[in-house]
This record gives sequence, structure tokens and C-alpha cells, in this order.
Amino acid sequence: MRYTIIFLILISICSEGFSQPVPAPDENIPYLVTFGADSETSWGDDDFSQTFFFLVPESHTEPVYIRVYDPDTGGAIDEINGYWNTRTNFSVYGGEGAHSDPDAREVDPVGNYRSGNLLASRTFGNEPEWDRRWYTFGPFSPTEGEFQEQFGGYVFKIIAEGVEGDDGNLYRYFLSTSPSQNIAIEGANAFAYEYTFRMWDDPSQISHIYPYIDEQTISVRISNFDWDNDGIIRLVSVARQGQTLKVSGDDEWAHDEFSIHLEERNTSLDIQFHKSKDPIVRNNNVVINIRNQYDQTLPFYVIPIGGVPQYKYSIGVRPKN
Amino acid sequence: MPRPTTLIIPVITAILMSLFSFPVQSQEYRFRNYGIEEGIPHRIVYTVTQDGSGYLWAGTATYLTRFNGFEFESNPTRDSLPSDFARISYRDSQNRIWFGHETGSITVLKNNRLNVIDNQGIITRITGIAEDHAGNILVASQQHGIVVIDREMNITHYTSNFSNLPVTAIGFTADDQLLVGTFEGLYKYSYSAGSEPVRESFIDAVPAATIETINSFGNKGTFVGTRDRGLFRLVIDGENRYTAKNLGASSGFGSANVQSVFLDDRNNLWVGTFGQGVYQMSGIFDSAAEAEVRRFSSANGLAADFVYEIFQDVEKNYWFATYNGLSLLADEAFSFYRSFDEPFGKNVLAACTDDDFIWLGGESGLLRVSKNRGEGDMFIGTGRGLPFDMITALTTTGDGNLWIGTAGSGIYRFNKGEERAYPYFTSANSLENTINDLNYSKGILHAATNSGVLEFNLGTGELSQYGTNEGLPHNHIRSLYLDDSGVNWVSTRSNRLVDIYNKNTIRIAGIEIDFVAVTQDHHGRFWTATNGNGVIKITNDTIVQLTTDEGLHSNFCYSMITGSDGNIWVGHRMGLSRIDPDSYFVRTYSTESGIRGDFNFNSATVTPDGMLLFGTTEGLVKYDLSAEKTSFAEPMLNITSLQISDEEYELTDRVSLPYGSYKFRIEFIGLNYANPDKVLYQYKLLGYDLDWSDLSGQRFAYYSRLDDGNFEFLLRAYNAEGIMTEFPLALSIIIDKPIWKKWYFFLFVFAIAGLLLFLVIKIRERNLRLEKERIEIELAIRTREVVEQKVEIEHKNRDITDSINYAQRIQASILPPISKVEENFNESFVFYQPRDIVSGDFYWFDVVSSNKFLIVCADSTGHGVPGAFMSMIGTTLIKDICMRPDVNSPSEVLATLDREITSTLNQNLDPAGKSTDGMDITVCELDLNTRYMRFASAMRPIMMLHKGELNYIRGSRCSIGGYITEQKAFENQGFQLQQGDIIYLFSDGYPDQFGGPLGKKYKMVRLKNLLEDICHKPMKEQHDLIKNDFNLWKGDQEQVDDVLFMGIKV
Repeated sequence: MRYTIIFLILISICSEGFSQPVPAPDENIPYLVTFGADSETSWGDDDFSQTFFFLVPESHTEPVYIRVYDPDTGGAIDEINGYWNTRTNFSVYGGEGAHSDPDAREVDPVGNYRSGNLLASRTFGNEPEWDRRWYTFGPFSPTEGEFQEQFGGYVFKIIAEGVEGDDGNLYRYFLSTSPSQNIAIEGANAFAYEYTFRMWDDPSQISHIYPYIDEQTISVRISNFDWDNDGIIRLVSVARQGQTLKVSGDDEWAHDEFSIHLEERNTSLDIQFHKSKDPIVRNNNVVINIRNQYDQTLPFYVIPIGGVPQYKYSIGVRPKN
Repeated sequence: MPRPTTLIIPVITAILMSLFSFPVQSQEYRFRNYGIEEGIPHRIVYTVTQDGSGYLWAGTATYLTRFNGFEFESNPTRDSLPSDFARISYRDSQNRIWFGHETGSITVLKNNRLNVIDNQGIITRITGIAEDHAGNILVASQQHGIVVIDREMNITHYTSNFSNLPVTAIGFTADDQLLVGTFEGLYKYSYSAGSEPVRESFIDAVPAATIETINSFGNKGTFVGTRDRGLFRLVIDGENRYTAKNLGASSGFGSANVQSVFLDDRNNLWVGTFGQGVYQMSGIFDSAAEAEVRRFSSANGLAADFVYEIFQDVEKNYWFATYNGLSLLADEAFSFYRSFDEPFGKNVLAACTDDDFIWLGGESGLLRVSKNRGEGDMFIGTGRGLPFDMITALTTTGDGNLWIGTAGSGIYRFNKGEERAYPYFTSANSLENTINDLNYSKGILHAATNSGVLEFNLGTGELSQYGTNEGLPHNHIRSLYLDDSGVNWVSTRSNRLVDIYNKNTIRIAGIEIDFVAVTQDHHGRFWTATNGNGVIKITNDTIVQLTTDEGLHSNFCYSMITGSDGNIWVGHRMGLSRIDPDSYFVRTYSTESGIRGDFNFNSATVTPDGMLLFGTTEGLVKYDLSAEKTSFAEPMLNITSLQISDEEYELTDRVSLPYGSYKFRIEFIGLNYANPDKVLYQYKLLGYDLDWSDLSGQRFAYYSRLDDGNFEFLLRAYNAEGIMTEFPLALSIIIDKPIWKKWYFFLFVFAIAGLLLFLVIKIRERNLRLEKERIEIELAIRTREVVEQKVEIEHKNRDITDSINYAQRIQASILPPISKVEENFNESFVFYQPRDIVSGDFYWFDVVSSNKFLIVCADSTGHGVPGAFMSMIGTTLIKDICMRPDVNSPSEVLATLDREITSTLNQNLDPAGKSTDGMDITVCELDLNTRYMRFASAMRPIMMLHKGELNYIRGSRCSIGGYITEQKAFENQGFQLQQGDIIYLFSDGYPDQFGGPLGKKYKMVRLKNLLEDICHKPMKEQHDLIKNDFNLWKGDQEQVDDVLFMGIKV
């Protein structure tokens, strides 16, 4: 029996390790968060909407599922504001325009941000049967996504939107090949143009997000919202050892703009969130996005393109005369 | 020898396991699944439908594909199709098939062609297609409203009443009300053709969930499938209010994600779900019957539990579009229990049934299978008294016992009440412990063993044995069969069918057969299964053998049973044969029917409700006769390829080619999805073939050379049930005639010929005219010459004629006058008529002495001038000779004349090249006093009337002159005449004359008759008669010779 328990634990660990959760392990973010439409932005959600994109490689032909962990608003995980009165809608989009529509890539839910075919939609309120459980959208054929040649695969979009209420819905996603298990798709990825997430309460935990800097990018502007001055935000890249970014206060935006080094192109940045240990801020929800010099949003990949960036020390070596 | 501990562990394990009940694995159905390996372009299939030609169309996640039973043809008209895949399909009342695509494209399949419809710029998924009562097609897009396409293909796009309301499905109710499904529930729209649908109300009878499908089946109702809320049947009340009945609660699928609803031809409602497979609901429309629900899922053969659509083709096969390919359920009659939980395994060696259970014998024990969905299933092994042995035979008795035969442990009795087995019979003879079959009747249990038949009287316990010592042909008894009359037949190697007691025997002379099983058909006729000789029907005087030649799956049989349908069912390795005992039609089932194992000996049985059960090495095969489906759908024939002289030709029903010699290869298919491999074809090319080809599974016809002519290729096919296509498929092939066989070529040739003829005629006419002119000129010249010659000739002729006339005068002048005769003879005449002016005949008479009167009648050779010459010579010589004193008789006259002629004409010299002319002559001498007459004649006769009789007197056979011969002799003939006698002298000119009515010679006979008739008449009258008769006879004929006729009356 002892060995059986150990085996089951190992299986559980491995399945997480190889899975494609959103947020991803490398990000060390506990949950995504979306508040109800009647909430105040000071709770940490600037628009009560969060859009994520899932990328399925073209070589994958089996059906895919998009799973949502704890999709309801209620129970132990979510953030209550008085009493549970929030309904959150999750909608999955594919087909033409799902990603290619400019509004879909914007940070605010305006215009035709719900572009593409609505493949599935479900609104959750306080439904205990989904508390701490996975709800599965799908199956979807990969071809039901929008084929994006630059990504080499099909893109699905999932929008979580607070329909009503003022509570915070904390949840996770998983792109799976199984309707009942989290089985990763080889080569798949997920990304967003704006990240709204819950910070750890534990100040020793450091969360990361990984915007990708393409070769057209010269400078970027990183914006964060409602950081509550909770610690520092550092930027690490192949060329930066730890640049500190401006930190926003409660219910406000902070913007930081800087140039991109040549060697940072075609790599990911690592934006690290270091919580303050004193005082300890609990249930802190933040928003972050990044734009280039053309005011175009840049994607955050849950699996950083090119891997987690490591600063490359430049040691000046001069030949001895 | 194994250590005891090694045996203890498995035995204990078996005992422990057999103490518990083991659920039987669920049965499988005869699904045929088509996935990537079978050629389908993508494993996810959204929609499936069938076109009018019989092809199956499947919309997959990549392409629209067409299926013919063998191959999937991906995107057959790729260039004309939109790039996005088809997600839904709809067959309208005009048999057009509409496809709605993922990104808004709309295509319609009509007359085997896919046409793209103007979708009015829609770029979102097509989510629904429906048809109103007027035949207008409504195509709903998810976010861009509805497109209405009328019968004339006019397209109208309505969007305003669908904004902010993504549509997930549409459908019409039976009373033509438009229902629109959304992600948030169901809406009713007011709709009339030609105007924009208007949202009327939200139907709150259905949960505000995603509506996946809306299907209306006439008076059966409208069914709404939802995501995660199940299936609802809509009912509208008298006040136009909707109520809905949730069917999921009572049908087992609860709040499943219902993707599709389908009503089949038997009013079974099929529900396709996401995650739970397919539910078939029977009897839900029959209020008197209890609804029955069957679930098909991946656990019992369906390709996947995620089912997008259900479809029934024209053969009544069911198709399931799933996210793991297409599934085909061709026949619900077969179902399979593939394997059972250990320790029973999957090898079913024996089977029998009672009212509650199916009993199966396996390799390690007995399995009790409940007929009530798993309730009471139990494995019975060593823990319940059975030996660790194979169960090879089972039979039940009415006393609650099940009798169990084993492979090597004898017979066991299983008490059903106690659920425990007890040993009943074991023998020291191991052969008797091998039980091959058991049967029971009237308190007697019979066991077929390898050592004959054992007979147990269950009442007294008495045991009897029957083997070769008792007359059985062999001790290895394969099986027993108790017939209608209670006779127990044994199956064993023999040349006869024999019963246990050897009292009834049916002999099969000549061959020894390894009988495996016996059964009877419904007419009481015996059927036997054999090991190697197929199946034999045996009656008292006849046997009928069915082998693979007659369609049997194999000649090696393992089990046989008579089904309640009357057919004989025979188990083989990897196959099953069904024989119609009357027609001998054999239908076989094999892997394509789902059979995967070998049928075991004596493992077939019939349940009380008519189910057939067969034990195989791969589980139990169940055949439900009540669910049997005979396909009366004939194969739908299509020509798939037409190659003419090795080049692909566009498919059409009429091929027209210019003149030439062509090779034809025609590929075709008879679409049949239940048994595509068993479709047989026959074809005939009218105008080429005399008869239909032999039946064959070959799907092409080849003709190596076709020349000009009109041909019609006819094709017909038979499905596995022998159903033939009613009307053959026809392909007209017309190869043009060569130009020289065309009517206009004939016309042209005739025209050319006519023209040539005309020209020839004209040329000939011209030539003739020229020739005529030339001839006329020539003629004129010739005529002139002729005229000149004529004149000359006339002149000469006149001169000659004058000369001859003058010669005639000379000749006439030398002939003595007739008066000289009349002086001596009062009555006489001379008829002298030369052929020409002058004559070769001549006469002479005169008194040569005082009383001698000499008469000469001569006929010189020739006539005319030559004759005249001769006559002149003759006359001269005659006169001279007659006056010679030394000539005293007529013969001397002739002799002298002959010499003189010969001499005169120099015929006495060298006769070669000299004249042969001479004369025939008669010389007659009359004594005027005595009337004595002498005459001599050269070649001429005389006629003489003497004493009233006319006499014919021949002369000498020599002519005067002509040739010299020693034999010439002229004789005198003398006659004493009397007064009144008449002498007739004449030349041959008279009797030789041609004439009369027939143009014949006059001849001597006629002359004699004439003279006989007239000889008594006066001489003058005779002269006239002779003359007239001659001229009358001659008529218009030419006179052939000179004529001289003399008559002298004495």
C-alpha cells in the first residue's frame, strides 16, 4: 500500500510536469482571475475579461479539449465580495478571425474581440459541482481553430468574461487531448496579450511571465495595473540581469518604456514579480501587458519561446600582448 | 513432476476467484469502423449523408470525402470546393445535398456536381440548414444571420434580427414554425417565405443552454438536443405555448450533450451524444409499448463515444459520424460477447439456455449469463464442485439440474438451486470421460464420448453403452441429435447415418464421411455437417451435397443448428454459413460481419426466444433473428472511370467518338455498404456481346477494339442477398462511321457517279454524234461509191443479163421444138423451167432412123451459165452421137457421150485439178412401129405408165463425165409399150425442190403419188398440174435447180 501511494503521487506529479496548464509551471502563477462585471477595478481586474489563445500545431490531428479548472465562482478558491453573485462566461472561439482580427489581439474587450466561430460557450455561477473540478469544452478538431501560418498551427481563443456580480473567479486552463484527463499536446502552447492573474500570498514565491520580443521590436512599453506597490517587478533577459520596472499602486496603471537590445530580439523576456515580505499583501490580483514601438501588443507565452531567458554574462577578455 | 506448491497457488487462486460473481463483458455489435487506416482523410467526421447515386458523403475536419464502400475519395472536385471543411449537411426535398462549411461557405451537390453558393460574405460557421414547406432553403450562420435560397436560387440575406445572437441550430416544426437555437436557449421566430424572420419569443420550456440540434419528424414531434442538458421533445398546446419533455431522464442518457437526433425507418429514435455514444430508443411513439433503450458506445464496437451525426442509408444501414471516424452498423442481428472476465476467458466450448440464463462452457469452468442485463452472472469453477477441466457439453433437464460434460473428467450435475456441481459419472476408461455431447429425453441422458454412447437412466441410475460392439460404425461419437420422432442419431465417421441403437440407418453409398453434426429442417429432412465434405442433405433416396462450390464458407464444419427462421446454420473456422433448405441459397458471414474466432464443436444452441448462440474461440456470437435485416436494396450502379484508348474520359451517359478503333476500359461499382465485397456484376455491350458476361466481382470491363457503330454498355449487379438491379445501368457509346459509310458520302458518290455518267453519256453522245457525222460522211462516200459501183454493177449485170438472155436464146434455139415430139406422139409435154436464165438441164429428141425416136433428158452439173455450157456441150455431143451410125442403142449413146464428155473436158488426162463436171442423163429410144422402148440412163430414173400401172425404173449408177472409172456401165432396158402408155423423164430439179408447208424436199415419193394421181389425165392437163404442183410446192422458196420434166404418151 505504501508503494502504491508513492506511485500515485509520482503519477500525479509527472502529469502536471508534462502538462500544458495555463498558467504554466514556469510562470509560477497560482490562478488566472476574472471579476464579475459589477465589480470595482480596484479589486485588480481592469476590464473583467481575459482572453487566452491556445496554439495547436498543424501536425496534431486528434481532437483537442480545452479544460477549465474551477470555472464557477464560489467555493474555496474564488474571491468573495459579500456573497457569491458572480456569473462568468467562458467562450471558445475558432475559425477565421479568432486571432487574426486586430480586436482579438487587443487588451480591452472592445470592438470585435469575440471574433471567429463561437465553438462553445458556458456561463457558470456559483455551482458547487464545478468547484475544484475541471469542466471540459470540446472535443474540437484542430482544424476548427484559425490557422495561423506564422505560428505553424491552429489557434483557439477562450474568453473568460464576468457577466455579472462582483466576486473574483479564479481558474486555470488546460489544453488536453482527453476530455477527462489533462494530457498535453506535443508542441502546443498558449499565449495572451494581457495577463490578469492572482499573485501568490506567499512572499517567497516569484511569478513570471514571458513576453516574446520579435525581430521587429525596437522598444517596448510594459504596463501593470493594481500592483498595490506589492514588492518589485524585475525584468530579466539575455541582455538584462534584472532591470526593475515601475510598479503600480492600487487601482492604477504604471507604465515603463525602454529599448530592446539587439540580442533580445527573437527571445522571451522574463518579467518577475517579487512580492514584498512586509507587509504581506494577500489576494493581490494584477494585470500586465506589453506593447512595442508601434503600440502593438506583444504576446505572453506560457511556455516561453526559446526557453526561460538566462542572462548571458559578457566578460571582457583582451588578448595579452 | 511439479512441486505441490506450484499447483496449490493456481488452484487456490481459481477457487477464490470462482467464489465470486464475475460480470460478463458487454456485448459488441457488428460495427464496421472507418478511420485513417481505412483512408478517411481525417478522423473527425462531422456529417454523413448519401447522394442520389448512392455515394456516401462525409464531412471531415479537413475535406469533404466521398465513399463507395471501398475507398474514400477526398475532395473529388477539389478545385470547385471552398477551402474550409463541411460541417453540416442537409438533403432537401429535391434530393439536393447542401453542405454548410466551417467558415461560412455553402455548397450544394446536384447532379453529381458540387456548386458553390454565394454566401453573401458570411465568414462564420454554418450552423444549420432547413427547408420550409415552400421548398426554400434556410442556411443559418453562427454570427451573420440567415441566408434564404428560393427554388430559383435567388439568395436573400437576413441579419438584423440575429445580431448579438449566435445561432447554433435551426429547424422547422411540423407546422412550419421556425425555431432558432442559440448558445443561450431556443427561440421561436415568425417566418414567412419572402420576408425576414422575426424573433418572436424565447422558449423557456427548454433550458437556456446551447442548442445543438433541432429536428422535426412530422407527427412524431420536434426534438431539441442541448449541450449538457439532454434531449427535449417539444409539444405545443392549443394556446401556442410550448412544453418540453426531457427524454434523457427516462432513457438513460440524462443531461448528455446531445449532438444529433435521427428517426429511422422503424420509428426508432437515435440520439447521438458527446461522450456517451448513441442511444437507440424503440417504442417511444407507441404508448402501449414499453420503450426500449439500447446504447451503442465504444465499449460495444462504436468508433467513439463522441458522435456528431447519425444517418441511415438506402440499404437501412446506420452510419455514425464520430470524432474517431465513421461507424457503420449494417446489421443489428449479430452481437458478440468477445471475451469474458478471467478465469473464464473467451473460448466458448459449449452453450445451452434455460428460461433465465445462458450457460456457457469454457476452458476452465462454466459461466452463467443472465438474460437480464448482468443480473446473476456467475462463473462456476472448481470452487463450486466442477473439476479444473474444459466444459465441452451442456444440457438441462426440467428438474433444476444442468448436466455438464467435460473434456476428460466425465459428467457433472449442477444443481441450479444450490449453485453447486456434483460429479455424476467418471470411468476408468479415459475415453469415456471425454464427453463430446449430451442430450436428454424422457428421463434418459445420452452422452457422446470417444468410446461410444453412454445411456443413463436418471430414474434408476442404470447405465447402458453403445459402441462398435452394438453395431455403431465408430466409437468416436462427435455429437448426438434427437429427431422429431425421438430417434437419437449419432455423428461419427461412417458411410451411413445411424441411430444409437443401430435400428435406423440411412446409407450413403460409396464414400466414408466424417459426420460432425446432424439436424433437421422444418420439413423433417436431415442435414448433416461434415469434416471436409461440406453439408449434406439426406433423404431416403437422395443426398444433396453443398460445398464451397455452392457458396459454403468452408467444407469443414464444426457445428450445425436449425434456426427458428427455418435456415440451417453451420459453424466453420472464422465463418458461418446460413443455408436456405429449400433453395439451397447459401449466405456466409465472416470477418466482415464481425466474426473473429473459430466455431467450436457442438457449441450452437437456440434460446427459447429464438436467438442463435454460437460458441467460438473468440467468445460468444449471438444472432437475433428478430433484428435480422435483409437488404432488398439493389446495388446502386455507377461508372467510376471510363478509359478510352488509355486516356481518361469524362463520365457521361453517352459517349460520342469520331471514327476509329478504340480500346475501352469501363470501371464501375455497385454501391452496397453492408457487403461491398459480395456484389457481383454482369455486363453486356449491345452491338458487340451476344450475352451477359459471367457473374464476377470484377469491377471493370475491357474491350480491346471497338470500331464504328452504336453500342450500349449495360451493367447489372447483385447484392449479397442475390437482389439484382431492376434496371441495368446503360452507357451509350457511339463511334462515328467512317466518311465512306455516311449517307452524304453515298449521296456524294451517287452524285459524282451520276455526274460521271452524265459526262460519259454526254461524251459518248458527242462521240457518237461525231462518229455519226463521220459515218454519215463515210457513208455518203461509201454510198456514192456503192451507187457508182451499183451503177457499174447494174451496167455489168445488165450486160451479163443481156448476154445470158442472149445465151438463153441460143440455148433455146438449140433445143428441139416440142412440135417435133407432137408429130410422133399426139400427147406429150415438156415442162422446162430453168433456175436461172440459162439452164443446165436440156432435152433433145429426134427421129434417128426411120422408126426410131430418140428422146434425151439431161441434167448437167451446175446450173445457170456453167450448166448452160455443159448443156451446150451435151446437146452438141448428143446430136452428134445420136447421128452416128455406130451408135445403135441408148446405152451406147451414153457410153459414147461419157467418153466424149470426158475427152471434151479433158477429164481423161490427169484428173488432178481437172473438171469433174458431167451430167445425169436419160436416153430413151422408142420404136415408132412396135412401140418397143429401150432406154439407158446415167443416174436418172424414169417413170412409166404401163398397162395402167406406174412403174419406177432405175437407171445406171454412173454419171456421164465427172471422173474416169472402169466400172462405168450403161445398160439398156427394154419395154414393150402399149398404146396409151406414158413415159416420164425428169431431172432432179423437180423432186429436190424445197418447199411445202414445212420447207422440205418434194422427193420422189411425192412425185410418184402425183403421177399416179394425174397419169390418166390428158397430157396437157398433166403438164399444167405438174407445173402448178411444182410452183405451189416451191411457193416463196427459191428454186434450187433447173427443172426439166417430160411426158410422152405412146
